[in-house]
Amino acid sequence: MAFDNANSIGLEVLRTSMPEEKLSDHALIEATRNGDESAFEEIVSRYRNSITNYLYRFLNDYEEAVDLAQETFVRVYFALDRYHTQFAFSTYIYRIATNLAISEIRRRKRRKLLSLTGLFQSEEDSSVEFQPPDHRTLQDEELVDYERTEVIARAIAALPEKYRIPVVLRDVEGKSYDEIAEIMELGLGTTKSRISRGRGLLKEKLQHYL
Amino acid sequence: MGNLTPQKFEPVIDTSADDKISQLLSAMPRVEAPGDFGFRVKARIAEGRPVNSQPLWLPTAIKAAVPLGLVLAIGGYVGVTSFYVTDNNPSEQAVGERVRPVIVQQVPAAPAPESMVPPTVVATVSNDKAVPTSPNREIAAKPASVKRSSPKKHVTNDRDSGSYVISATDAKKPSSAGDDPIADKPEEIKGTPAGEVLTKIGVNALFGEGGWKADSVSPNTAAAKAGVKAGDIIESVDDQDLTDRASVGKPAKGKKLKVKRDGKSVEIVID
Repeated sequence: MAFDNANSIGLEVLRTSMPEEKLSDHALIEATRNGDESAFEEIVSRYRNSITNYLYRFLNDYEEAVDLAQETFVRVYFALDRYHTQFAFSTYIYRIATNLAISEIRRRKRRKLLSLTGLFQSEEDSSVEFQPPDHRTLQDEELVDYERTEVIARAIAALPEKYRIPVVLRDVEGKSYDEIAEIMELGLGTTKSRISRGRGLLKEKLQHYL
Repeated sequence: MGNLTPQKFEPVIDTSADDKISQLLSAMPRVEAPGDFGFRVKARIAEGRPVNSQPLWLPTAIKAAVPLGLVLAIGGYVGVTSFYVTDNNPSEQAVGERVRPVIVQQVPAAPAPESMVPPTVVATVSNDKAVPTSPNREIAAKPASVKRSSPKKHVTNDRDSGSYVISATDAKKPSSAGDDPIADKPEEIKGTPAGEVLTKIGVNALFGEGGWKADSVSPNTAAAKAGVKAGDIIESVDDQDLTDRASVGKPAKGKKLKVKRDGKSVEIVID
C-alpha cells in the first residue's frame, strides 16, 4: 500500500511545509487523495479518541470499540474517492462508525444465546442486560464513582439502538441536534424526540442517581 | 377565520430531567484510543481493502438449502436403492425360478374329482402327441406359457382321449410328492424323449434300474432287424447315457445303441 511505500524524507518535507493542525478536515482529505499519507495520519489523530469513546459508550466494550474504530478509519481511507466535501467530515466518519456499531450489535444478537432474563425483556428493551445498582454503602469515593459510571454505562447500553445513538452523540459526544440528524439521516424533530425518549428511559433506570 | 399557518411540531421535553441525565452522561470519563492505534490502522490499510465477511442478509432459505439438499439426496438414494433391490433381488429371482416349473401330466381317462386336482392347475392341452407307452411320463412345457396372475382352477377331462394337464406348482406349496419343488424341476427337452425314440424303432422299454429295459421288441422293426432283444438294457444312444428324462435326437438310421445283455455291453447300430 501507499503507506508502506511512503518516502520518509518526503513525509518530513510535507510535515514541515504543511501546518496540518490548522488545516481543515476537507483539506486533509484532499491531501490524502493526492498521496499525502501524513494527512491521513492527522485525520486519524484528530478523531481516534472521539470515535473510540463514542463506540465504547455505544457498545460498552472497549476492545470491540477500538477494533471498530480502527475499522472505521480503514473504511474511510478506502472510501475517500467517494466522499463529497459538501458534507462535514465529522458527520461522515460518525455515520460510518454508527453503521459498524449497529452491524456489530445485530451480529451479537444472532450469537446471543437465549437467557432467562431475556425471556422477560421486550423488544423495545435492549440487547444488553441492565443490572440495577447495588445500594450498599461504599467506603471509597473513587469506588462510588466507578460503580456509578458502570451503572450508567450499562443503562446506556441497555437502550434500544434508535435511542442510544442520539443520546450518546448528544450527551456524551456533545454533538448538535443538526449534526445528529445528519449522522442518523433523520429529521430534526424525530432526532429531538428520540433524544428525549432515550433520556426518559435512562431516567427510569438511573432514578437512584438523580 | 383564524390563522391557518401550520405550526411546527415541537416535542414536549422535560428539560429539568433531561438536564440531569445530560449532566450524568457528560460527566462520565472519556476513554482514549490505545497508543498503537495509528499503527494498527496503517497495518489494516496495508492488508488491503476490507472484505465484507458474511452477508448479514443471507436468506434463511439459502441457509436451509444445504441441509435440505442433503436430506433429499440421502432420502432419494435410499428410496431408489430399496426399490432397485426389491425388483432385482437375486434371492427373489431364485424364488421366481421355482415358480416356473410347468409339468405336463397325462391325466387318466377316468374323470377325476376336482378336489384331487392340485389347485394350481392352469390349463389343458390336447393329447394328440401323447406317447401311449409312457403314460406316467412328465415333460416340461415352456415357462412362458404360465401366467403369473392369480392361479385359477380349470380342469378338462376328456374321457375318450385323455388329456394333458399343465400344472404350475406354487413355490410356497411343495409338490404332491412332498419334495423340494426345485428337485422336481424337469429337465428341458431339446430333442425327442428317449422312450419315444425307442418306441419308434420298435423297442417297448420301461425305465428301471440300470436304464431302459426292453420289455419286448416289435417284429419287423429297425430294432428287431438290428438285433435288439427283449431283456436288453439300453444304456446309451449315440454315446449319450440315458435317464428316464433323457432326450435324444429324432429316430433315424445310423443310431448307435449301447445295450447290456447278460452282463456284457454290446453295441448295436440301427440300420
